[in-house]
Amino acid sequence: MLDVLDNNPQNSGLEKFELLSAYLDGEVNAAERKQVELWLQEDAAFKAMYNKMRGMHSAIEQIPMPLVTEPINKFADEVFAKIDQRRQFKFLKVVGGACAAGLVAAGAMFTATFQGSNHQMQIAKSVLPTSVPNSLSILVKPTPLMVALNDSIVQISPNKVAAPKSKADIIDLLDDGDDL
Amino acid sequence: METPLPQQRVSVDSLSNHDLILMAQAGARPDRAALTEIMKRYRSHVDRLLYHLAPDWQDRADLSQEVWIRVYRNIKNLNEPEKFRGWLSRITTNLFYDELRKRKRNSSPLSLDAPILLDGSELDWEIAADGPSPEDNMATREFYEQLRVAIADLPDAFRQTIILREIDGRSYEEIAEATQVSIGTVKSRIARARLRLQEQLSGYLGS
Repeated sequence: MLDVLDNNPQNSGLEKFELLSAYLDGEVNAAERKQVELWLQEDAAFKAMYNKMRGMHSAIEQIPMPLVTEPINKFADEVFAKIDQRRQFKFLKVVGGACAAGLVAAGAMFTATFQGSNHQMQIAKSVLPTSVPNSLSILVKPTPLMVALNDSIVQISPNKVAAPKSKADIIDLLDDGDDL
Repeated sequence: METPLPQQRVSVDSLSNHDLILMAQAGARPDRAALTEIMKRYRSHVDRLLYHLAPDWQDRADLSQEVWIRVYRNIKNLNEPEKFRGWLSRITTNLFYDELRKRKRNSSPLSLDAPILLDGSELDWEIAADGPSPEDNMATREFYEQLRVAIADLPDAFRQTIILREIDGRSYEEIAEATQVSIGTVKSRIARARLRLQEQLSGYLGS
């Protein structure tokens, strides 16, 4: 088929066909358009090829479509049903995900609390040994510093002990108490 | 004196495409009556594109529904209602290419013997009624059947390219973007596809 386009040695048949095709689609620059139009004027075979291409172009545009008999309302209902179904699924997924996340968080908190208790108990065990050897008190000799700490530098009257001024101070005290 | 707003809801089938799309975009969620009317007007365009892009896929009806689900979800993002058709085409082709990528690992050679049934809905052929009628030597059912087969017989990349050009009317640049190849490749594929079709249908096209 491209034989008819091979007359010009400067352009292969396929190149000319490509240019003609692009010309039909309006995808050529000014120089290419001028060239194609010149060929169309001078070359009858080229012109015939162009007419065939145009014929094919309009045939594809008008190619019959399979007749779909499904009414549009039924089609639309199916589309909307799918949309609703997916929205519900997404909602359930979000709710389910939130529940799962809540359970995981609760589990993590429980585990952390439980492990924290054990940790405290372990610290307690290490700090407060079950039995203090009586001999230890013998080994530790009293020093002047210890004596100084044990003796109050300033004499504080029992009546001058500051009472908690605010509720926050009371809570602080209670919290401190909880730590005990 | 101000003109009172119409109290009665306007029938959607009397609205222009532009107003219909605005109506679909108006509420918190797309207006379903408006969207149904849009489907009525543009469904054939979507089906036509899918039919030629994926001639051997048996689930094109599902794919078509997916297109409209994407339209429902994204129509509020369409800033220029007058460009709805191009926007719809892009949704359709994007969906097609998404599906194509999913199916490539299980791809089978294109079969020309594949049944034409479309989920049981394809019962007859509808000759395009609008526009100029085909030339006399083309206006036969046999010709269109041969043309349909010839298009389906094109290698995938060539078929998709020529369909995006001839059915969807896209520019070479747009096709290059959609198919992720150069404009030169698009130009070459379109020309070669045309050449192949003309060769196969030379008996119908005359001398």
